[in-house]
Amino acid sequence: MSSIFPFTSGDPHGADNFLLHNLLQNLPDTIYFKDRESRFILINPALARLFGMKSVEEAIGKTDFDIFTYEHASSAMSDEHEILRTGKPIVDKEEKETWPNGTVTWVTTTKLPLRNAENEIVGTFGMSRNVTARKLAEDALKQAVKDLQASQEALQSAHQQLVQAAKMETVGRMAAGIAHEVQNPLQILLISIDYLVQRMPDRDAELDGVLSDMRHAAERADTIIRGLLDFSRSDELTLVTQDLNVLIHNTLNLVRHNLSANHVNPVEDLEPELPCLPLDEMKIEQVLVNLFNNAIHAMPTGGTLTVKTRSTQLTERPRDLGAREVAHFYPGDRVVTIDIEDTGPGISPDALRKIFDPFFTTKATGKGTGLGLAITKNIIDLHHGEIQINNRPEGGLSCHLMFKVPKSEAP
Amino acid sequence: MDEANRKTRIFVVDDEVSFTKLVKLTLEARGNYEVCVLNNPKLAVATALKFMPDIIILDVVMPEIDGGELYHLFKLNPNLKEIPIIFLTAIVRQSELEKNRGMIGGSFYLAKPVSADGLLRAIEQHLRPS
Repeated sequence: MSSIFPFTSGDPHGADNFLLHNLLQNLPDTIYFKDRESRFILINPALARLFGMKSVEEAIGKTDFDIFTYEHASSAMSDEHEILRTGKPIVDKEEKETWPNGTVTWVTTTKLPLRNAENEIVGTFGMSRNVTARKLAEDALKQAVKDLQASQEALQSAHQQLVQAAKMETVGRMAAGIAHEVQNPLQILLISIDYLVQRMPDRDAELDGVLSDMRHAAERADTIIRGLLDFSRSDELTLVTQDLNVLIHNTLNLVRHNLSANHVNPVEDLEPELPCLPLDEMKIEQVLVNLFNNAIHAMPTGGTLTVKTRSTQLTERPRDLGAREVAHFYPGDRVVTIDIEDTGPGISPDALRKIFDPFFTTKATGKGTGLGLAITKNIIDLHHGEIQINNRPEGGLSCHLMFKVPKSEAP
Repeated sequence: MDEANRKTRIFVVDDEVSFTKLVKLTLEARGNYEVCVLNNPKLAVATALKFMPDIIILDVVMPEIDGGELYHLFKLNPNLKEIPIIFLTAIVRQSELEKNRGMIGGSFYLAKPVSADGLLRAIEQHLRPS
């Protein structure tokens, strides 16, 4: 030992040894020297205190296995073997130290090869600084940032929901009033057009076209008003136990004309023996017609409309687009899902975010009221279900619906 | 007038002047109809007693007396109570009516806006067999 540390056995008052002695005795950081077998050959008083030893000599001949947990000691020894093998130091490594009593401390450690006068590696030495306080503060800060982000997201989501609710309420309140006030003038327009048609039996093609345009414009306005009325009155449900597969099949028949006119091929992938659900048949039919027609409109040059139904048991809480947990659904719940997929171009992420907003539409003027998906979402919410719309990785849009199976219907 | 050639009498009560004017013009030009229109619902019973219609078309939302009240007044009058009544209103939706074959609470409804053809179909369907 004395051959390795001349200053410890030599004259402690020599100029160099005096300096080193002071450094070792007083530095608050821990310093150790180990032989090739990772046995301590010297530690400073700071490390002896940390080890709970009365003197630095107590450590001599011991290894990390005598002091730390097996896991930590193995990791430290493996580092030291690497230094002995390569001669390369490990600088500023952050280490977790687990003590036998379960205490965890964090240190940053620098470990180097210990060389003798012949420059042979005869062991390792290192210096560690306890950074537990800083590490805990960092962890607390990270957690605080995470909590803050989560509460910010929750706040944002609550704000969006409030805005949405306010919008829905306003639209709902406006709708009934507007409907009555606008349907009456529309009635006058429609009957006037009928009258003009009747009075001009010999009209030319141009006049016929104008009258036809007038009628279509009045009918378009009527469609918007009916949409508003549907929206304002979509808060009452008449629930009857339904076989969703039958409802889907029948609704696809309703849009059969649209399907064939747009060269869209419908594919029904319906799970047999699907559990029945308490649904408002008319309203779910309205939802399906909306979603089918949206899918068909997304494929003006043809494509495939796939409708899948499945029943499954949730293993975790589902999340929405913003990664928030979805209300009403919990692990263990039995659910029925419907996936409606098209092979159209999909839509932009920005449009996806606004897709359920009242009056938001990606369709050309006059082609959509912007109320279809707002009504759809409202109806699904009333059923305590979930609707999510996403772009499919393979292209096109996918609409995912989920309904909880009541306990009495679950197998 | 010869009873066989008697025109079908239609009484329309609606506070929309333009609408009633056009209904009269359109229906009378369509066929063997005589249309009496009224924009002031307070005069409805008196006018009906004078005109003695075969069918009554009634708006619902009107000032002072609404269509519901008028309906009861007609039904309370022994001379008018048998006359079929159709409500024509913007406060119902066609989809609601389709579910119930046009009936709400035992009365027949048409949702505004309705075409002249739609109105005539409903009238013909509800006329009492003479």
